[in-house]
Parts: sequence; structure tokens; C-alpha cells
Amino acid sequence: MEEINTVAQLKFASQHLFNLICFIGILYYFLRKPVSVFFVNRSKNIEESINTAKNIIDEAQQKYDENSMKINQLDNEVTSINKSSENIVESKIDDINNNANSMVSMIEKDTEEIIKLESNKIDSQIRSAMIQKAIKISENDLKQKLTEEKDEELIISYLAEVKKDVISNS
Amino acid sequence: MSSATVNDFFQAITSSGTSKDDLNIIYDSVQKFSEVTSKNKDVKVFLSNDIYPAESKIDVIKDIIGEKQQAINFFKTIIDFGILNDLIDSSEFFLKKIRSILSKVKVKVVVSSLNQRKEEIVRKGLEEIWGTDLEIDFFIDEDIIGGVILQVEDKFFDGSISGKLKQINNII
Repeated sequence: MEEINTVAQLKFASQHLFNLICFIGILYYFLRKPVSVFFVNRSKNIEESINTAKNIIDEAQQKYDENSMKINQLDNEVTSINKSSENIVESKIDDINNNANSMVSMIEKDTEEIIKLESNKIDSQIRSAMIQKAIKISENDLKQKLTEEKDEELIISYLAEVKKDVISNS
Repeated sequence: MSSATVNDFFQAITSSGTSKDDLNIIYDSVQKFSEVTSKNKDVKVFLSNDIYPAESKIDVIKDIIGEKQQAINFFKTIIDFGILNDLIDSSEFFLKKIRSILSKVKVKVVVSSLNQRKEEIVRKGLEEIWGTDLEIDFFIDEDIIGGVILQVEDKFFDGSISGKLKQINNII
């Protein structure tokens, strides 16, 4: 009994194996082309996607390089602007300092000049005041001391002077 | 004033054979006329105004200078020449012109004080220089202190003490 069962089982298994092989063969026969086409297409799509991604990456890299170059240029420009502005500021400061120094020296000279002029003016004013005083004193003295006789002598001597002058001119 | 007209006028006077005495009379009349017109504004305005006739003006002038015919003729000629206004405004100029014809010299003397003796001294001194035909006017100005200031026609001589002091002041 046990032998009958084993044979039956082998038979059954071989039948099913045969069926399976047939099924696989049918499957292989019918599905071999579409599956290979599918996978070829699939691999093509993946390859295209990879190429597109590569292109995008390349473009992005290119743009990145361009932008970083521009950024570098901008950095350089900013640096040069900073330098030139620093130079301008320094030269302006120098100019202002020079102007201030020259103004100070001019003011010093002017002040010295003004002081000299003022002292000369005061000197001449004092001298003039002294002369005026001396003349006033002389006037008063002469008024007191001048007699009619002396005045007549003065007139006679001046008329003689005028006579000489008129004769020499004529 | 048109100097050409005035010169023509004086040429007419000198060439018309007017004697020295007549010119002296004219000179005195112009002096009187000048004094009155400078002091009396109404007379000056009347004589200066052209709307009044020459006869009326001559009547007024006669009242001022008197009835001396030579002087009246002179003023008539002045009116004929149309230079009466010039005479009123610049009488000293006319007097100077007549003085130069008469060889007369006008001297203004300024002294600090005046007495007979001093006047004689000055007069004598001036006559020695400019001759005897002088018209001397004395003025007293105590501010000159002493000495004398002379103005002989247009010339100015300062022999005063104040003048000398001013000179010293200017030099210093």
C-alpha cells in the first residue's frame, strides 16, 4: 500500500511538474518579448532621466560657477570701492588738514600784521596827541608872550619875505 | 555864464574909449550893486526875472548906484548883452575883470589885532610889493594868534603863527 502511494505520488508530482514546465514555457514564449521591451524601455527611460539629471546638474554647476564668478567680481569691486573710498577719505582728511594748517598760518600772519598796524596806529596816535598838546601849549605860550611890537615885527618880516617871493616869481 | 559873451562885453568896454575915471565909477557902482543884490533877495529876484522890462530894472539900478551916467550906461549895456543874471550871480568875477583893466589889486588882510600903526605898516608893505593902486580890506581873526594872512586876488599868503604851527604839525 505504501508502495502504491509513493508511485501515485511521484506520478502526480511528475504530472504537475510537467504542467509547470509547460506553463513556464508558455509564459516564456508569450511574455519574453513584451517583458524584454518593457525592460529596455524602462532602462532607456532611466538612462534619459539620468542624462536629464546630469544635464540639470551640469547647468546648475555652470550657473553656480557663473554666479560664484560674479560674486567674486562683486567682492573685488566692493574691495576696490572700499579701498578707493578709504583713499578718498584719507586724501580729503589730508586736504582738510592742509587747509586748516594754511588757514591757521594765514590767521597767524594776519594777526601779527594787525597787531603791528594797530601798534603803529597807536604809536602815531600818541605821537599826534603829544604834538597837538605841544602845539596847544605853544599856542597859549605865544598868545601870552606875543606883544604888539613883536606882532608888528613878524608882519614886517613876512611882508619882506612875500616881496622877495613876488619879485623872484615875476 | 558864457565866457565868450562876457569877454566880448569887456572888449567892447575897453575899446569904446572909456576913461580910467569912468571905469573907477563903474567899479564902485558894481560893488554897490553887488552888496545890495547879495543882501536883498527881493531886488535880486526882481532883477533876475526876465518878465520885467529893462526900463524898470534900470530904474531900480539907479536907486542902488545913483545917477552917475557912466555907470547907468554900463548897466544898460549889461542888460543889452543879456548878462545881468551873470553879473548878479558872479559879481566878483566882473569886479575882478574891471580891476584887471584898471590894474587895480584887491588884497584881503587878516590880522589878530588891528591899530592905526599896524594898518600903516601893512599898507606900506603891500604898496611896496603891488603898487599904490590897492583895494585893501582888513579883517580881525584872533585865532591866527599873530602875523598876517594875505589874499591877493587869487593868491594866498599865510604868514600867521597858527599857519606856521599847522605847517609844523603837517611836517611832523
